[in-house]
Amino acid sequence: MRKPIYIFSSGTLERQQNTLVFKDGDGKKRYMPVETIADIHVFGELDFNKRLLEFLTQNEITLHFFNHYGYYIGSFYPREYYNSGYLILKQAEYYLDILKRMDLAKKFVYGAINNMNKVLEYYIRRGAEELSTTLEELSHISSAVETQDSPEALMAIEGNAREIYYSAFDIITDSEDFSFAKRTRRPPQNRLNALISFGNSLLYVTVLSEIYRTHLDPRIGFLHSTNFRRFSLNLDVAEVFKPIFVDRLIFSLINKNQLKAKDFSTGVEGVFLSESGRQTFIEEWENKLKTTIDYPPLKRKVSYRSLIRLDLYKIEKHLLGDKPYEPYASRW
Amino acid sequence: MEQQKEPQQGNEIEFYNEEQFLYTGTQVYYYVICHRKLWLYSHRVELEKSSDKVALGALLHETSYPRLKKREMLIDSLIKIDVLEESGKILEVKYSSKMIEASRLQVLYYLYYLKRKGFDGLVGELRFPRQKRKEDVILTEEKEGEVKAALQNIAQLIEPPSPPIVEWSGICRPCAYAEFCWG
Ligand code: SF4
Repeated sequence: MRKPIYIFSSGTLERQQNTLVFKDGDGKKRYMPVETIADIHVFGELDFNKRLLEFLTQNEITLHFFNHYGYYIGSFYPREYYNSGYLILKQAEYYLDILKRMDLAKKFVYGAINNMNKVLEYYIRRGAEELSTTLEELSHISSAVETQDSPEALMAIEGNAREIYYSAFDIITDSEDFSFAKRTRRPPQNRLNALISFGNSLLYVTVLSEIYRTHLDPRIGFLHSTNFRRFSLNLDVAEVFKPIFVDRLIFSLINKNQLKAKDFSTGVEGVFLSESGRQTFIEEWENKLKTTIDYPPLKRKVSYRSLIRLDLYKIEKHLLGDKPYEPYASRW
Repeated sequence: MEQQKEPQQGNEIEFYNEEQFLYTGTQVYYYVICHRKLWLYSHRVELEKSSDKVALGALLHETSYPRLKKREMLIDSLIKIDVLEESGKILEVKYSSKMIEASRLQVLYYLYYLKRKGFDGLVGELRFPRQKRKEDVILTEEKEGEVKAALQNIAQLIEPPSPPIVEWSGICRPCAYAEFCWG
């Protein structure tokens, strides 16, 4: 199994024969055998050259960049190594045909709301009965999905659903340090918002890295409009997984006191995780992705990370007219 | 019109016959193994690269018969064969005899292909290093019929816009497409 690499310090990343070497400011070197790396996440300042990018391309490694505050900037997405012209044509066809596009876009929204429900139901079972009203409101919204006829309208519904769902966060976390108030994005205005933004960024790049290992083109999304400059399919697929991957992780980090107020900084750029906070988050994030769960269709256990890949395959099968896409539904 | 590729290091032979088969040995092999796999592969929905099994097969291929003088030839940029230097036999090495039927047809296809190009009387040989076993493959008239039928079927199987529906068989478990088909 290839592993993701996270680089927090600043320095130089270069190729030395068949190995990657990271030299930090003090001249300390870290060697990383290239065949063990899945993708690289860069949080510090990084110097590199074209030779490095060529090396990463040869070895099919994506490179993701985050800014000083931990927010996603962009990726180096090497030339695809799986390439099916037929599938790309199908993907474009499903994008251009509004009925086909809406069909898929709705599935992402249903998938997202369904998994939000699963999160709420879990906390209701554990005594937070007041969340039942949230659940009802969500199902109300969910019933409006079917009648939407444009991706924009669908995105608005998605936004409403998420707003209602986020209103449950204060009940779930019950922590003064992490009160939610409302969702604020750029910049996040409080700690919980900072956590959501950070977690979502990690999910976006994880899905992007998984898309790289399929035949899909990340530039053609269905719910999120393609604007030909940005990746958007990963945003679509991430919607399905946010509640079970990101939100659950945040609740556990807060409720187990793994993150505290001191792990955040506040500045003109809003509130963001400090480096130590980011490291804690990423450590638990990686643990989560590695965790395996029973997966009945395959009659074996699979990791959380592979759940993403399996959904991407399901989308491919949908596009090939093989089997309609059913987004991953958490069982608890 | 695009120029045909130059022969590489003398091991690629180009034929300029009118008749062209458009299938690779792998397609003929997959035709026997699983029609769905054939369809997916033929539409370039490939998944083999990440499979360790394939890497293992390639490694075995390279290390099985170090003293054997063989030459890899790519013909019409389409089929890749190993030729034994001494006997001129066409060799195919497989790491498992489980897929023996498929390998047989693959070699028969090579022989048929070459015969149509004017190379008559060639013989194939299958080798199974693990089982220390080998087997001659001879293109009889009957076998030729089998190959022709297979080629026709392949054309029909890969023609539809969607893959054939998934059906469980014993070879699904080790198949590189298992997660794709069953996940
Ligand atoms: S998993 Fe089974 S059905 Fe799918 S391609 Fe492989 S052998 Fe065929």
